[in-house]
Amino acid sequence: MTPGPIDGAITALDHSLRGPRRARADLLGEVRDGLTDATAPYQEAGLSRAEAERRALADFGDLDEVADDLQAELTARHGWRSALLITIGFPVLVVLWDVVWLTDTVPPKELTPTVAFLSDAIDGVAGVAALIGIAAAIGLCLSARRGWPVNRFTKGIGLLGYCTVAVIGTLSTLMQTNDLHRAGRVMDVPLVLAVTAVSVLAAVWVLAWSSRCLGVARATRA
Amino acid sequence: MNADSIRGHLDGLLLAVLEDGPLHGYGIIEALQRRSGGALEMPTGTVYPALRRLERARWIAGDWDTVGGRRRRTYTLTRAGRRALEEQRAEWIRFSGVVGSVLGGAP
Repeated sequence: MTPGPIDGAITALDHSLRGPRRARADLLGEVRDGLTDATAPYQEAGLSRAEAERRALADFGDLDEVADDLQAELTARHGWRSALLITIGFPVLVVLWDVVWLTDTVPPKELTPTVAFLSDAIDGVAGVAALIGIAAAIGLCLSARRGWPVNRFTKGIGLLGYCTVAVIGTLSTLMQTNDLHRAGRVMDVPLVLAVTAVSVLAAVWVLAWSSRCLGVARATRA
Repeated sequence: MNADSIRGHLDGLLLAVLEDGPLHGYGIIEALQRRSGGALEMPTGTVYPALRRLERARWIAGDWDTVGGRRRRTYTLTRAGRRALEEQRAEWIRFSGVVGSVLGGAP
C-alpha cells in the first residue's frame, strides 16, 4: 500500500527526533492516532482519504515546530530516567560493596588508613551524586510547570553521570593500587569478582545514558 | 483568536477541558473547538507535546486505553492539576480585569 501523507509526516517526525526508540514510538503513535482521528470529519464530508489526510496535516501545523516541542519532551524524559539511574544506582553499588566488606571475606581490619579513606570518599561521592540526581529530577518536574529549559537539566545530568563514573573509577583504582598484594588476594574471592563485574556494567550503563543525555540535549532548542 | 494569543494560556485550556473527565488527544482538540465555538485557531499539533509536558508536571496522568477497538492515550486531571487549574482561573480573572480596566470601552 502506498504511504499516505500522514505516514510521510510521521516518518519525517521520526527522523528528526532524538531519544530512546520506545519513547519516540510512544509519542509518534499518539500523534498518528490523533491525525487519523482528524481525517474522519473530512472523509464524512466527502473528501478522499488522501485529501482528508492533507487537510488534517494542514490543521496540525508546522512539522518542524511540533518536532521541536516533541524533542523537548523526549529530552526531559531521558534526563529524568538518567537522574533516577544515578540516584538509585550508585547507592546500590555502595551497599553491595558494604555487603562484601561485611562477609568477613576481606576483614575491615586489613584496610590501611589510605584505603579506608578512599572507600569513605567513594561512599561520599556516590551520596552526593544521588542527591544531585534527586535535585535534577525535581528540577525536570518543575521545568514543566515553570517553563525552564529542559536541555540544561538533561545536559547537567549527563555531565553528572560522566563525572561520577570518572571520580569513583579513579578512587577505586587508587584503592586497588595502594595495596597491590591485598588487591590480588581480594580479586580471588568470587563475591568480589561478581560485585566488580556488576560495578563495571553499571558504569558502562551510566556512561551510555549520560552520552545520550548530552546528545538529546544538543538536539533540543527549548 | 490566533495561535500566538492562545499559546500562553494553553495549559489552562487543556486542564479545563479535562475537568469534566478523561479524554484522548483528539477528543481534547474537539472539546477545545466545541467549547470555544470554533473561535480558537491553533495548530492541533501543539496539543500533543503540551499534554506530555502537563503529564511531566504531574498535572495530568496519561495511560494507554482501548477506545472503539483502537489503542488511545487517555489523559485524566490529577488533584495537583485541579489546584493548578483553579490558580490559572484566578490569575485569568485578575489579568482580564486589569487589561479591561486599562483598555476601557464597552464590553
